[in-house]
Amino acid sequence: MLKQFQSGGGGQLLDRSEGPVMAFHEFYRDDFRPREHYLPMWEHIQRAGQQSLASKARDAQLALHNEGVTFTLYADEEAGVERVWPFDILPRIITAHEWAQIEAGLKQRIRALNLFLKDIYHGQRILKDGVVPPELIYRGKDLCREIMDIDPPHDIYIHISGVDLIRDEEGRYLVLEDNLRTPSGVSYMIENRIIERRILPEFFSSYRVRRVEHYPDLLLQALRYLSPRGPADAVVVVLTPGVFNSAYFEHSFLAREMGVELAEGRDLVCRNDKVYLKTTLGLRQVDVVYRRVDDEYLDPLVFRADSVLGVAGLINAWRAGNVALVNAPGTGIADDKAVYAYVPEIIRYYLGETPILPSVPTYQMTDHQDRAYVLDNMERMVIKSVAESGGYGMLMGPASTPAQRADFAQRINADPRNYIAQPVIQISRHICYLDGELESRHLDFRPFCIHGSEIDVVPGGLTRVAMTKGSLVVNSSQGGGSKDTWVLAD
Amino acid sequence: MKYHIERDCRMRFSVPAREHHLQIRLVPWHDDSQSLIRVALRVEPDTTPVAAFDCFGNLSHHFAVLGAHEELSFSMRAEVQTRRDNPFEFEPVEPAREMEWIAHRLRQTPRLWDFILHHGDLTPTLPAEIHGHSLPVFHEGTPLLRQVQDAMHWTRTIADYDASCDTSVTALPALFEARKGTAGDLAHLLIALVRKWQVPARFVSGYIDAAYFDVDGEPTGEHPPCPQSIHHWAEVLIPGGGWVGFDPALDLLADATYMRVAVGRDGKDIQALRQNCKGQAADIEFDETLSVSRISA
Repeated sequence: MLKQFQSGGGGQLLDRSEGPVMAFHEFYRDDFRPREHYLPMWEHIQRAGQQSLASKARDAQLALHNEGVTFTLYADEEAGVERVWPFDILPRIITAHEWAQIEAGLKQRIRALNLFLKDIYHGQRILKDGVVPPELIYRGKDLCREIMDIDPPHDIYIHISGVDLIRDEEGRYLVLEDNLRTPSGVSYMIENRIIERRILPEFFSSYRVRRVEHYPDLLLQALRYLSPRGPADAVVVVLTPGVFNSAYFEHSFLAREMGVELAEGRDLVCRNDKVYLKTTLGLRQVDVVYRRVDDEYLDPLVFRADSVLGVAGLINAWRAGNVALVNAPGTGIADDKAVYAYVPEIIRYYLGETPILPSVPTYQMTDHQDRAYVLDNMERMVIKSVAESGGYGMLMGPASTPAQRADFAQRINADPRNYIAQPVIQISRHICYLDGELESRHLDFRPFCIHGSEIDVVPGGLTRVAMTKGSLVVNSSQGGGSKDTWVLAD
Repeated sequence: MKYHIERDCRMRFSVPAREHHLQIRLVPWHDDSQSLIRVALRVEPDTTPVAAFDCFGNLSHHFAVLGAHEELSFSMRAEVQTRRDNPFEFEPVEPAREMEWIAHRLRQTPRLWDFILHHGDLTPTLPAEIHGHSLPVFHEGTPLLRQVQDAMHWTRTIADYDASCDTSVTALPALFEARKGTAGDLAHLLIALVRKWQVPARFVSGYIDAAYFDVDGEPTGEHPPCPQSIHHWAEVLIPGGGWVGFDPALDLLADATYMRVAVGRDGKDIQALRQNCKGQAADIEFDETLSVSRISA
C-alpha cells in the first residue's frame, strides 16, 4: 500500500486523518469573492442580472436541440433514447499558467505510455527489469496478444487520448484516468464552444480565450501523417459501430467536420491485406481507419468471431503495414486501472523524468494488505472495475448501501485483479446556472491529445459536471452535464 | 524421423458464400526439435495464402475469396524431419534448484507467464480433489519431470481417453462428469494441474505417426483402419529440458513421432480454422482428411 502511495508522483496528497476536507472551489476564493480570472465574468453577470442568464440558458437549450447535439444513455430507463446534450452556460476558466502545467504533464504522460505499449508488445524490457509486475500485465483483460510484435505506423499506439483530470482539495490537478482506447467527448467540447460563442459573445470580449474549433483539422492532419502511402492523397474513414452507439453523434460529427467518409464494418472489405471502401465507383483503398469500434469487435477473424461491427482481415492488413488503425488495438492495457498506479514509475523508467501531473493514490486488490484495508474501509473508498469506464462497474463508498458494499466485497474476493480502490477525493466545484439559481456542483476535466508527427493538446476540453447536488459522479453516461472550458492566452 | 503430411479440407455451402476470409493453422513448426523441410498450400478457388506468426510462435496462413462460391477447399503438403528421439535426453537441473531455474526463465521471458496464469473454462483452477482423488501436490526436491509423469498417470484416474470421441468439452468440469474425453480434454486437465504448481504448461496440437491410429493386428472389414486426425497433448517447461511434451491420452512423452503444429494457453488459442463470410448459408458441409506417413527413420 505504502509503495503505491509513494509512487503517486508529484508531491504528497492531503492527510485525511483529521476528518473530511472541503472541495476546492474553482470560482470562489475562501473569502467567497470570485477568483481574479473570474472577476470580469462575475461583474458582467451582476450588471446584466440573473434574468439575462435565464434567457441565455433557454437559447442554449434550443440551439443544442435544433442542431441535434445528443447523447444516448444506456443505463437509463429509456435506454437507447437520444437526449439533448446537458450543458451549463457558465464556462470554466483555466489560466495560461495552469494550462502550461497541464499541457506539459499530458504530453509527458502520453509519450511514456506510448513507449510502454511499444515495449509491452515487443521486448517487454519493463517487465524484465521488474518495474511493472509481469503478473499484473498477464492477468489484465486488455492485454491484446493478437497484436504482439506488430509494428504500427511510426510506432504510435495512442493517437487520440482523453485523460481525465480532477482538482483535489488544494486545487492541484491530478490524473484520475487515462482514456486511451476510443475516448469520446471531443465533439461536445466543440459544440459547447460554438453555442457559448453564440449566446455569450459579450463574455468572450472580456477574455482572450484560445480556440478549440480547429480540433478536426488537427485530427485530420495527424491521421494523414499515419498513412502508409503518404499524407498527400491519404484516404481516411471513421469506422462507427452504427446509429445505436451512444457516441454516434460524435462519429458523424467528426467525419463531417474532417470531410471524410463515415463507414460501418459492412462498408469496408479487405483484399490482399489491404482495406477498401465500397463505393458506387468500385473499391477505393483506405489508408487510415479512425475506428470507434472496440478492440474485441474490430476483426471477427482475430477477435470475437460473432462480431458484425468490424471488418474481417483488418488486423492482417494492419500487420502488413497497409493501413493505420487509430487508436492502435491493444491500448487498453495502458489505461487498465491497475496499471494506472504504475504510471509514475513508467514515466521515470522510459523518460527519466519526474511526473508533472500526480496520480490519485491507488490500492491494488491483488495486494493482501491493500485489500484488507479497503474491505475494512469501503464506505470511504471509490472502488472501480479495472477494465470498465463511463462510471460503470464502480462503487462510490460514501453513497453506497451495506448490501452494495457486501456485493462488491464478494466480487473483489472472487477476482482481485479486476478491482482497484482509491480514497474518495472531494473533487473541485464550480458555480452552475441551474433552474434559475447559481449552484455549486462538482466537476472534472477531460482535455484531448492528438499524437501525429508531434503531440498536440487542444487548449480546452470537456468539463463534466455532476448535475446532482453533492454527487461526485460526473460521467456523461451516468447523467452528468457539461461546461465549456476556456483556456486563456498569456 | 522424416514424415510426409497431407491434409485436405473442403467446405460446401447450401447457398453461395462471399467475402469469405479464412485463417488456418496447419503447418508444422520449424525449431530445434523438428525441421519443416518443405511445405505447399493450395486453395481453390485460386488465391494466395499469406503467412504470419502469432504471439505464441505458431505459423498461420490467411486468405480471402471475395466472389460468390459454393465450395472452397484448401490443402497442405509438408515434409518434416523430427529430432527428439529420446525425450529424456537432456542435462537435468538439480531438483532442489528447479523452481529457481523456472523463476529465472520467467524473468528472462515474461511471456511465459501466460502459461502459468491463464485459467479459462478449459484450464480452470482445479478443486482440491476430483471424484475423491486428491490432486497431486508438488514436492520441491523431487524431479519435476517425474512429478509431471505421475500427474499424467493421475489424469487417467479422473477420465479415460476415448479415441472414438471427436468433440472436446467446452468446460473442463464436464470431463469430470463424463469420466472420459478426447486427447485435448486430458491435456487440458494436465495443464490445469501443472499450472497450479506455478510451472508453465501449454496446449499443443499436432500430428503423430500413423502407427498410433492402427488397430491391433491386420485391419479387417470388422476393424478398418482408424482415420488419422489431429492430435493434442501438453508441454511442460522442464528445467534443463525446455518444453517437453506429455501425452495423457496415449500415456507417453512426446518423442520424434510427434510433430508440433500450434501451441497456446489452451485449445481456444489455436483453432486450426477461423473463418468469416457473408451469405445466407444455413448449412456448411465440412470434410477433412489427414495422412501422415513415415518416409524414413
